[in-house]
Amino acid sequence: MKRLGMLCGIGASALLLALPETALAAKKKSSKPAAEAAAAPSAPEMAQVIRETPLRSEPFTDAEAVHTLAANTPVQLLLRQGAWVQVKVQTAAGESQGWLRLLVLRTAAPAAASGATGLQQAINVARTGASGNTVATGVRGLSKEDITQATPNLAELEKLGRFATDETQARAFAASLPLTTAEVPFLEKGDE
Amino acid sequence: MPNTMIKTGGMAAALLLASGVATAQFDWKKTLGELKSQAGDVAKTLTGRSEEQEQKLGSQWAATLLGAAPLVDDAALQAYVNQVGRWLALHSERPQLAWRFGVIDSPNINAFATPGGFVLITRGLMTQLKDEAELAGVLAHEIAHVVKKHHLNAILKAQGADLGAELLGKYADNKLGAGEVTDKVVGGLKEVSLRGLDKGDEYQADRMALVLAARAGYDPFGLPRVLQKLETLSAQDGKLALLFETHPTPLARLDALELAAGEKLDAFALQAAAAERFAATVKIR
Repeated sequence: MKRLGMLCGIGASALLLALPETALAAKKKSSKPAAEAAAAPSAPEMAQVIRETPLRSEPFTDAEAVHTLAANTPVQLLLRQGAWVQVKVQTAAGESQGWLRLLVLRTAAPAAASGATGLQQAINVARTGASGNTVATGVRGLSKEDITQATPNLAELEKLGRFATDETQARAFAASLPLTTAEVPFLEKGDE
Repeated sequence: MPNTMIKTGGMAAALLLASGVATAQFDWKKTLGELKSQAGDVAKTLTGRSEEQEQKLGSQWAATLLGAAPLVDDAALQAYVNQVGRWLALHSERPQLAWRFGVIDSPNINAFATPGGFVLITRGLMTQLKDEAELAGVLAHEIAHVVKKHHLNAILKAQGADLGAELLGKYADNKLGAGEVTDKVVGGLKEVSLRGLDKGDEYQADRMALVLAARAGYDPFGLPRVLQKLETLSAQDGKLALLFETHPTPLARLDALELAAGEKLDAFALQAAAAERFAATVKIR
């Protein structure tokens, strides 16, 4: 495995303190077994791995692989740290904890009023997937029908132009955070 | 009189110039007419056309989308998306386009780009976002479509090569003015909005989006987090219908990003998410 640079290692240790809660929010560790926790009123945040992937002991690509998780394995999200997420998972050997890369996870829908547990819900989502074959009904604004019937609104176009930001303003906006430019080469298409 | 001489000379020069322009236009149109039978060649010709022409078409297209959903009445919000968007665009290959960004008042979850630098994001999508890095990811994806001129591809495919070529012909025509865009052209643009861009172009825009966000100092995983969120929303939700019809599934897009990015962007995950600035500015629900 390729070694990660020093930058990542140093930054990651500071990040635990610095990162606000994200979509993959930090969750307090639960002492309950995963199955019981999933059925509890406030279900833990669940996700699934999208392909076979190693579960690592630490958030680095050269850290020890504790397990290899099969595609669609459900995991409980504990903490996000940079490009990594700490998870809890049930394996044949019992409960295990480790780190997965953010991009190998699909988050699962929260448990609905149907009575499904977070875990069941996660599995249902995996089976159903996100199909695009639905029809927009009763939604105003930008359904197919709305776009088909739309006529150009030149007054709104003119209004849009009034909010434009020039380069100087954009640079000042970035500097106020501050946002700092980084050199990053474009990505090639990945190989299957 | 010397003055008259100068004036006459000036007029003659102006006439010469005018006829020169007219001849050039005639020749261009003739050439274009010959090319129309081969839409691919037209597209090739047009990728070199002026930004002004590209922007005329794009502004008509944007005006049509604004006809379906007007801008959200929130000046601070509109200024904010323009600041984030322009800052990102400064890190693209077309930093000096007349970029315009807007939040449009629709509950649908979607974002659109049109040629020449117009980017529109719906209120429905804005309310799904948690921080500025996620907004940056969405805007950067749209910026990539503009930078790479993905719409030309889509126009060609939209209604068969013949109408595609006709649309492109009008796009190329120097005389195309705001009032001269025909219903047919607008119809063609609507068709592209409904069919979506080439799927390969969508994946390319995702890859570019992560890089543009990273270059601009943001956590590049903003867009993946948005895709993970969309994946959790019900596929039965009508608000997502058009987005899902015109794009690969969020899962397929995440998968492609993982294959392309590997660990290359990991170090940049520590860059700004700017959740506080986002929360302080984005008040819409």
